[in-house]
Amino acid sequence: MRTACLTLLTYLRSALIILLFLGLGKGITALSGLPIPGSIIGLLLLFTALTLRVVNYQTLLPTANLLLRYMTLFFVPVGVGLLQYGDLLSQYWLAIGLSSVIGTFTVLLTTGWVYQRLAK
Amino acid sequence: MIYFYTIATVVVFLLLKKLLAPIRSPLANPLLWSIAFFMLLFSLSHLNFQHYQDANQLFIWLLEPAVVALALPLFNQVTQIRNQLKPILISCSIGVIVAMSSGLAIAYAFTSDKQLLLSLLPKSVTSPIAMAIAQQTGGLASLSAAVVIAVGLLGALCGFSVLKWAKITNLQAQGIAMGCSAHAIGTAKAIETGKEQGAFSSLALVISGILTAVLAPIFAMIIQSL
Repeated sequence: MRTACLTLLTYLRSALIILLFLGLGKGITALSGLPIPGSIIGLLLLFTALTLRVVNYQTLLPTANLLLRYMTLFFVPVGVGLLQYGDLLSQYWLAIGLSSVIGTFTVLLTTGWVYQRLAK
Repeated sequence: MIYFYTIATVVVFLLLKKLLAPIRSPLANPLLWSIAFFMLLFSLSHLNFQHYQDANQLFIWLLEPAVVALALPLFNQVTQIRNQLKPILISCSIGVIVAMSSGLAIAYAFTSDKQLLLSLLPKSVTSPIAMAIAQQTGGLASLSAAVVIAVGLLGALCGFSVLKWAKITNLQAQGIAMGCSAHAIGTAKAIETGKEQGAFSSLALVISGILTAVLAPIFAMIIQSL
């Protein structure tokens, strides 16, 4: 019982820290009007806090691991949401389809190739 | 009753994950088949799709803290990142410019609809950045979001196979390529694939997102002058 409570507390604590950084990021986005989402600013702030040892890595692990392990699951409703855009997508399917497919693979291969060349 | 759909999403995803685990093909992707399952369900039945979206707001909301949590894999690899800062920045910058110009050039061959071209511009970055950029440049935010998701799925599905085929075997290079081309969906896949790929993909997601936001107005000006 005691250990269960302690485990719960470690999850609660790590969740609160992550939410705090998300809130900070969102605040900065709202105040600055930058076209960069609060979650990305929150990521950068949390990374900085980890590097400066303001936040302890181990403390964050419970919730962070849970979120990262199931991140793919969170994209299911986002993907199903494509149904709403059926009309829009089918109207321009050739231009959208080709530029997406060819564009994506071009980016994938150029970035991968450039990095591999430079890193060696 | 509405939360039945939340549970259904979890159950279908976990079930498919278990079922597809022994199949060693990139097409055996639980995300792809979960989406296909629900799309078919709502296309073939008279069930209200809006109820599904409402019930699953929780997951869409959880994506934000999940992005913040990407700071951990990044921190884990901080020495490798510091050692490779120059190749990281160069490859991401090239990736961002290639992403916007290649998509633009191909789409322009088919249409000169400026609103469409503007909406396709941020297709390689995570959807909140893409939507903000589309709004700023005069594209359709909803169309951008849809294309972004489709591109992310494509990258998550075929990315690693294409990289292997092209003999890009450096794990860091694979991560950078996934993050630059397929943003958060690609990064989620990279995290499942390996620690190093996951960290470098998170990094590329952040850098390419910011660079795209900075460079998109310049590309928008080019589109306006076409």
